[in-house]
Amino acid sequence: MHISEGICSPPVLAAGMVIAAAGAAYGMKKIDTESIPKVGVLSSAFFVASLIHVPIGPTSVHLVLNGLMGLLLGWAAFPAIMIALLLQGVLFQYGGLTSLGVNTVNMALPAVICCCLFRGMIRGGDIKKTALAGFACGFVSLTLSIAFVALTLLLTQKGFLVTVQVVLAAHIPVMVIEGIVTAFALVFLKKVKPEILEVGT
Amino acid sequence: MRTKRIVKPCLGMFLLLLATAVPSTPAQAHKVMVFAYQEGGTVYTDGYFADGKKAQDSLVEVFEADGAKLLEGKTDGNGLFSFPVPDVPEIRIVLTASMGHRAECTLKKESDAAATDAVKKDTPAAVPQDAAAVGEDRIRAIVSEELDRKIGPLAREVALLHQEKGPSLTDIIGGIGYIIGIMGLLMYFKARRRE
Repeated sequence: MHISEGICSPPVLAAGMVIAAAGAAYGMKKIDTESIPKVGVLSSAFFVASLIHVPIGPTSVHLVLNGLMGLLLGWAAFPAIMIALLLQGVLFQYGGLTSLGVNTVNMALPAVICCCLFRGMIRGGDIKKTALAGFACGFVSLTLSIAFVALTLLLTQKGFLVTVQVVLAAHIPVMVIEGIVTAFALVFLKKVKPEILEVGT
Repeated sequence: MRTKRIVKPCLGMFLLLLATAVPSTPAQAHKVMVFAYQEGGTVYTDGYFADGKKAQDSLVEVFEADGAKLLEGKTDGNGLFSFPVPDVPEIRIVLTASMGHRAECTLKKESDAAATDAVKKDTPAAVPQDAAAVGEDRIRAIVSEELDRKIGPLAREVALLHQEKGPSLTDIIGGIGYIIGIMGLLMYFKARRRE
């Protein structure tokens, strides 16, 4: 999911940077002093989630958690994801500095989209509805992210379209797991600290 | 309450089944790395993901130091690809896996490899004139062949030791520390602006 350095063409990288910078700037404006710890915690969660590979069966998976971030942070997901990706790039060479913009957009834009789509569903006190929204959010945001990555690659190298469906199909288990984890996290938060779920985009 | 107690193990089973039912899910969500080493007259490249899975069927391109492409190929089922040592002082090996993963490494030509090459070229043309000179050449060839065989596994092991590993726990905790620090800074500036 992290696009490495030297893959995308300069126009794609530049476009990614511009969109990411705009999103991050807008997100920063939305953050008030009280919500900074929340942004930090979720940024850390995102940072750690993609580094820890859980071996399941013959392969291993890692969580992305961008759906959860979108629901809890709204536009603030942009700066949160950008910081985490920057550190992953600098410390571990996951992704890269030039592709930071593209990677941020690919992860954070689905988060914001999911926030707009599913925020209404978690407003009420209905636990089942919250769980459903959580699952859908995790599933859809990861699906969108993978589709965005595929699209980014398509803009650079043609002939990738055939593999897009294969890649999407291969990630279905991860999407389902992501959805379940997001659902559990949301239900837990709803029970323990419901006020954290009240976010403006 | 009772239904809840049943739901959780069921969910776990479901997850496990789901994961095992997809045996060859490509681990594309991970960082890819490439490692190359030289043995005898051959360069071996090893492509693998951060979780230890091999980068199968990935494109390997070999460039000269000035950027000219020398050759390309695909890794096999074990993420391996090998080719004869090209006649340039330094090569750059670029591995491109699916979903935008790319890794590269450079390899300098070892000086003794050149000697081995030379000896190997010499051996077939062993039509002796001077008995003493032939003897020396042949001994050199045999010794180098034997050494290759003996040192081969060792060299492979050293190569394995040189492989990058994924981030360790300390690295990860360090990263979290950075994030906390950045958030602290952010808080500081926001608070100052408000005053």
